[in-house]
Amino acid sequence: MENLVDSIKKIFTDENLELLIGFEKGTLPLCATPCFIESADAADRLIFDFTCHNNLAKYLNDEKKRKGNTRKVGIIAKGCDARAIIHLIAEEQFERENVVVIGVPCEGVIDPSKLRKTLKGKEITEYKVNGDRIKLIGNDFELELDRAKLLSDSCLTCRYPNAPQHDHFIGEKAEPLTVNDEYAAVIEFDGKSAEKRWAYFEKEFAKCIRCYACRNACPMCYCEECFVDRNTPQWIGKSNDLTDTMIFHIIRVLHTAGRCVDCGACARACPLDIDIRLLGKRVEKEVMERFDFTAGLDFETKPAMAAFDENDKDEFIM
Amino acid sequence: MKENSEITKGKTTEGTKNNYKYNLNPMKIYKLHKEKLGEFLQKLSEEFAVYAPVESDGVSAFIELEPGQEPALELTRTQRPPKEVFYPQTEIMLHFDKDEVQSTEYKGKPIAVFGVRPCDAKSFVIIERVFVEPKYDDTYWSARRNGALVFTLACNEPLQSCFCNWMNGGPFDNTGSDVLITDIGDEYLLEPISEDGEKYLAGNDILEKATEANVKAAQNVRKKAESSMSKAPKLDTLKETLDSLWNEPFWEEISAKCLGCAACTFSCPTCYCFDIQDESRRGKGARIRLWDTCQMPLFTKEGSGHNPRPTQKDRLRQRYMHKFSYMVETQDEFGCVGCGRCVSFCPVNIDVRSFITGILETAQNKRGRQ
Amino acid sequence: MKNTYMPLPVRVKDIRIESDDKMLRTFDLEFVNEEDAFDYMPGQFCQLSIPGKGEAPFGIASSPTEKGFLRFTINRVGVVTTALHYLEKDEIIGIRGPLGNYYPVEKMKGQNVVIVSGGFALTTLRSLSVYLCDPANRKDYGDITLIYGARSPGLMIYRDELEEWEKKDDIDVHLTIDEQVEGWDKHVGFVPTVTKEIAPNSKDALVMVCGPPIMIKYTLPVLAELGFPMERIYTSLERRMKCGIGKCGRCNIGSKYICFDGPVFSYSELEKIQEEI
Repeated sequence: MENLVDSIKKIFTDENLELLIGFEKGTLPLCATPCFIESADAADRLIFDFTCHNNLAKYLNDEKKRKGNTRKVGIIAKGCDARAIIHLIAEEQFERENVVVIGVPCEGVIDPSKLRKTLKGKEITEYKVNGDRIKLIGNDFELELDRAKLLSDSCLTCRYPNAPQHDHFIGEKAEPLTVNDEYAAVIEFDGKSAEKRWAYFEKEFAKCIRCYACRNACPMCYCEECFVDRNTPQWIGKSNDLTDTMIFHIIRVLHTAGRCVDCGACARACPLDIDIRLLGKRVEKEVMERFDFTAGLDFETKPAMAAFDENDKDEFIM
Repeated sequence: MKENSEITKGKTTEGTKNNYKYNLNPMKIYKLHKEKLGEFLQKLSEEFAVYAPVESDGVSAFIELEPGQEPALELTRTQRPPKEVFYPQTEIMLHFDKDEVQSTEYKGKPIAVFGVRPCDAKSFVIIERVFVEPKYDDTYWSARRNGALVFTLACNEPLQSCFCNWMNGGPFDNTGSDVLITDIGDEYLLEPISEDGEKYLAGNDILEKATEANVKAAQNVRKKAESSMSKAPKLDTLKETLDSLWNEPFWEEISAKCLGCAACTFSCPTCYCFDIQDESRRGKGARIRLWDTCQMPLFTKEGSGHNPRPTQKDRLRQRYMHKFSYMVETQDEFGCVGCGRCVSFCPVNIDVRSFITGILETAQNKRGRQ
Repeated sequence: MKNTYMPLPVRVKDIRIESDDKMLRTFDLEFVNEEDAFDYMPGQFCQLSIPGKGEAPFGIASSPTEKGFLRFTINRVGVVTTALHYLEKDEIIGIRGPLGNYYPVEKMKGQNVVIVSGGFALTTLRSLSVYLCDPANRKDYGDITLIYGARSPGLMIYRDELEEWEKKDDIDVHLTIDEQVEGWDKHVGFVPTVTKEIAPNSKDALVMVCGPPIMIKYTLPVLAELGFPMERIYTSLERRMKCGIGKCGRCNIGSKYICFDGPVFSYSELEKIQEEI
């Protein structure tokens, strides 16, 4: 991305940042990696493109654990990352003035799971982008396809590619995709019978290896002690028995209700390419319909699950 | 009585560093035409429970083959590590019912692992050194491992993330194998490596003798595979270097992006740490063994609340020190087989290869400055 | 081959509340089946198992010279220890052992032995003290000095026994508490300070130090000053454990497994370990 490094260097100095969280080139093709910079000179390493798939907002939680809320932190934010930061601040996790949101235009990010599924066990040595197309090149094969086929599902229905609120913005704002219905996949799935839906989730979660990459990649999972780790009382078992695994994912989705910004980091982190997002997306739709609330759009609006309004629907109360 | 488990019969290391070993000795090699693979596996399954790489629902793992099921041998690497054939992620150790306690180790047919790669075959040896030793035998591992046959499939196409050659291994390494299989196009060559492998192949009438031309083809395939891998840096000073850099700031830098999940440890073929949990209801229940990870805070958190590894930096350092320093002390071998799974699966692209080259560079710079 | 994870049944023979805050209880256990009874050495530990709750490691507080029972003092901190605290006499639990290595009683022969301990780390050192003082063994060892401190008299374990030992002349017992309380006529002060005052002679002597990390931190320099070299100072380490037999990796520290290579280590063995001990 043009101007990224120079802009960051300027922002670093002007804002007196003590830490900047961004991305640098990774060791595998089509893979960027988070990068932590503590001086303006180090900004030379920074990049931003469609390989930058992690949600950096999560690192604000780590910063808080490590250094309290004391340093001034700049963070490069795609639309969803910025929404996560905004929501965390709305949940009073950080002081607003300690966080400098640096928006960047996002046109979608690569989903490593989709890449793995496309390559069917092979690996690439390089790639070439040609407009909407991408060519994947390995030692003895080449594969060309639409770039959109490798983008994260959350990107395909993204309505907030740019930070809704920001302290700085580098580059031209991206055009939101024309999304007819963000919840199309959820609605289609909802149309299936309960048995079919349960069977689908059983099939997906049977693969789960309980690595908690999904939970740890999520900016909203910042509890000191997660419910899966509690042993007095022991809420759920630790094995990868299907009942325990399903409970973990179901409860995690409920804990992120009204807080999830559908960045897709959970699904992208999963080493076994499980469909982690679907259940959460359904809950997101529920929150939207019941409370007319979308997480992470501005710093002031209280999160739906943390506030009460007299106009809230109450048909479930007898 | 199980003997000292420097495992016998050709799979052993005799306590010395396991260097890349391949024979491809023309005198002893058999040949199997690819279209007879099904027949071969069918015969194998008469005596053994056959585990092979299978892809199902988008996840590749070593699963017991159904009759007639074809293994996915074109996959260089399965997502789930084959250690789970001998050491499942969740295994019930004991069943109890009021005061009666029963052990529930595996009692099925002996196991044959077919199509495992040299890195993974070596991982069985490494784990076994911990699980089976003169004083204590891990009952559950041994119940599955005893009498098992390992048919290793050599790698014609190492992946980009593979680095077995860094860890004294290689795409045709026969460490830990009973039989080494080479794919030479229309046929598989089967070379017995251990006595058990020899015994099994000897009577097998589905096999033919390989010709010299076949073996030559195998050697060519081997050379091509080896040269396709990126050159390994010299790692003979890795342990000493790591030991001297305990307090270096780079630990903080690398661990800053670590999520502290278990993606690396659970996909790692040589990670063996486990947890033991009891589950019960009204006096009936089970004691269960499950994979555990040193990357999570609960691993070392003590009853008093004190945690000797309180930060992710401590935990990440533990992983690398354990694999590249401590295990060298206890096994005279790196605790890593270079399979590349952690490189491929880490959600934040922490790459152990760049970690290794990075610290060797740090050490060199320090020496340069002195 | 016997299953190393299978616990053997033991019966609760006796229960005593050790501390005023009731968080410490001592249990005497006997084997349900005679043939299961095992031999052990001071310093070793066992995994006590309550089916459904779990297992936890405890140092054996009884000495092998005391026949017919195994003694454990248990601090209530979590699921397993709470379940243990709820046990009543004659209830049956499981035991796996003896695990780990033991205090270097062979090296101690002909030498003086100094034992420095604090809090409830005295358990295995009680085993050692009783073993050394046993009439069959006593003549093999020189002077035996025991320095033991607790926050207050009510938190001392084996207090009655220790006061009996004070009267004996085959072991020199020094008890201390952190702050003076009414009726206490013995030492007052932290263990490191008291150790410095008593100044045990380091010539031909080995010292066993077991206690909370902070006590050890300040006692080690005192011992160094008194002239004890690292290879003659021993301790018993503790970490979260699960399997107890060197396989699950939890108690891994440096290249050692505390349950398997230890828990007794000399400080010269621990010098190489860079992790927090």
